[in-house]
Amino acid sequence: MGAVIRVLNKVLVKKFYERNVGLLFFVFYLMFGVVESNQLVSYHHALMFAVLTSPIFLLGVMGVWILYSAKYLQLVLSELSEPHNQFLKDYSRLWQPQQFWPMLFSIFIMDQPVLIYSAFIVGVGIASQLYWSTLAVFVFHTVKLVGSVWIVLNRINSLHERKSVMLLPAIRWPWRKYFPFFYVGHFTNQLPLALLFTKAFSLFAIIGFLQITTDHYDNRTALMGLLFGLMAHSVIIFESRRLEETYLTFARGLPISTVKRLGYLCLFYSLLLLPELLLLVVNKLIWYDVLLIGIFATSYLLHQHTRLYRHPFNIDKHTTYTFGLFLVSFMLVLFKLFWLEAAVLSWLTFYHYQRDYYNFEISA
Amino acid sequence: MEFSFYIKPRFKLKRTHRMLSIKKLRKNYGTQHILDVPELTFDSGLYWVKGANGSGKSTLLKIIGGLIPFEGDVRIDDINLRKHPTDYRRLINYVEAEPLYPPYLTGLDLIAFFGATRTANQQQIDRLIEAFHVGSFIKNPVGTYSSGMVKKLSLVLAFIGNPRYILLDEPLVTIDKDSVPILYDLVKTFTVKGVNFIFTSHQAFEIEGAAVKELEVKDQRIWVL
Repeated sequence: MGAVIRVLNKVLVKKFYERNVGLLFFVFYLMFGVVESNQLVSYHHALMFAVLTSPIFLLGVMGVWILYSAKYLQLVLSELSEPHNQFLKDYSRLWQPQQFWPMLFSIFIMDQPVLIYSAFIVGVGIASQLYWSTLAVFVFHTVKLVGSVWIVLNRINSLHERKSVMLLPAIRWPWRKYFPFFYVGHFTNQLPLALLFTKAFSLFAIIGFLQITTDHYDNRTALMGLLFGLMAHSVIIFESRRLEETYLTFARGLPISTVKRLGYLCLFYSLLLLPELLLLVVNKLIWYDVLLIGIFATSYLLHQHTRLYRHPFNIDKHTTYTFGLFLVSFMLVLFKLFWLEAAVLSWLTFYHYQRDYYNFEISA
Repeated sequence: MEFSFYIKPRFKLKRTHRMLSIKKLRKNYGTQHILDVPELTFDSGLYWVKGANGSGKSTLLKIIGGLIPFEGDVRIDDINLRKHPTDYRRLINYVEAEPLYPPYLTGLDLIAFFGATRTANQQQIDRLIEAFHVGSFIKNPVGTYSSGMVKKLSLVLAFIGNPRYILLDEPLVTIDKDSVPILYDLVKTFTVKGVNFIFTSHQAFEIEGAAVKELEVKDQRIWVL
């Protein structure tokens, strides 16, 4: 079984962590980085105790855990549909128990961030003699893990049918698709959950920051929320570049000028940011600020996209840069200098794009 | 009924100097040296680039197609690939050996997009669709196509527009035997109209009445056979 586990880990587990290292790092920072170190243990003990004593809170936390499971299931199912992973159909030749344990191990490894925290919750529950809620947590994870394994194995055993993954209904565009919609279509059809999670996180971040009350009109609260949302878009940016290097290579040979190509990208990211900008309009930000924030946000995403023409694909470097850019931007927003950043990022975007677009090669 | 697939270019071209030339071309993948071509000229006609697997045939076509970076100079007449990339690409159509297209797009989406960027007219597009018998499936997403159907779609895309050179990487791979004469007919029709072809193929490319010039990529160099 060792060989099977090794392959599953390389094909599924490693890919999951590579893609989500940024998100996991961010969540880890939110959970442990924002609390004073001398209060960390008591804070989390109180949090775990609250989870175990409040059924509503427990249900909410379980909902988050299910979302996390949906995230790794979505990746696993989409990876199984990839042509280069069709060799995994041989997995279906194993007997059912032989299929079950290696896959359970892989799912178990992907679920580690949740399971480790849950183990502490169980520990607190037993120490506090809250046996029923502790048992609920234990049963929940057992059912979730077994259910996840069942879903994946069911998929593998029907691999030869090459069914497309449809956790969410794909959005079909009935009219002619223009180039920016090639990108949009990739996310609505191939990665709908990634798009949904990103947009949901982004919008909730803005809504959260808009709850901060200020004495007078200040666009910085919205901008701070937006910055968290833009950071969450790093996955979308990376996947867009991956799309260009897998399915859109033909576009390089077409007679489209550099300015027009960049215009297409600009339009794609502007469309992507429409929900955030509409939210700002609904929250009564003045039109001038919404326009300026729209330019800032588009240039922010475009800059990260065009930067990926410079370096070979490396999710770790991309995530590190995303985080660094976030920190610098946060400071500039605090000092009301985001307009300056928008101008610099726009210039850098154009400079990088015209210099690097045709010089990038995946094997370089 | 005889179709005319070729559409007169909408821009002026010096018809007397229609020549693709390569100078001091070098291409490396990391430390691996792939191509070293001091000078090479593709005049009018059909060129069959031969070579062993991994010799650099596809790399040569990708360079000429303006898809990958390289050292040196590639131009058609006085239109330099580096200095006038958009004008140069108007003169070149390229199709990969194993093309990949976004699975959620329909063949029609791609044809419309290529048609728009290459300023092709609908008449030409309709005729190409009819010639390759792709009309029955081009309204479906590419993800539902077989590899042969994808290849046929890529060949339709290869002929769209008003190119001076059409680059075909392994055009005979995966297409059915009924499509081969259709491809040959199109190549002949376009050649008569002054379009030049550079193709790679491990199978014999036998077009009746057409003179095919042969080249071989070997030891990083290109040899005229």
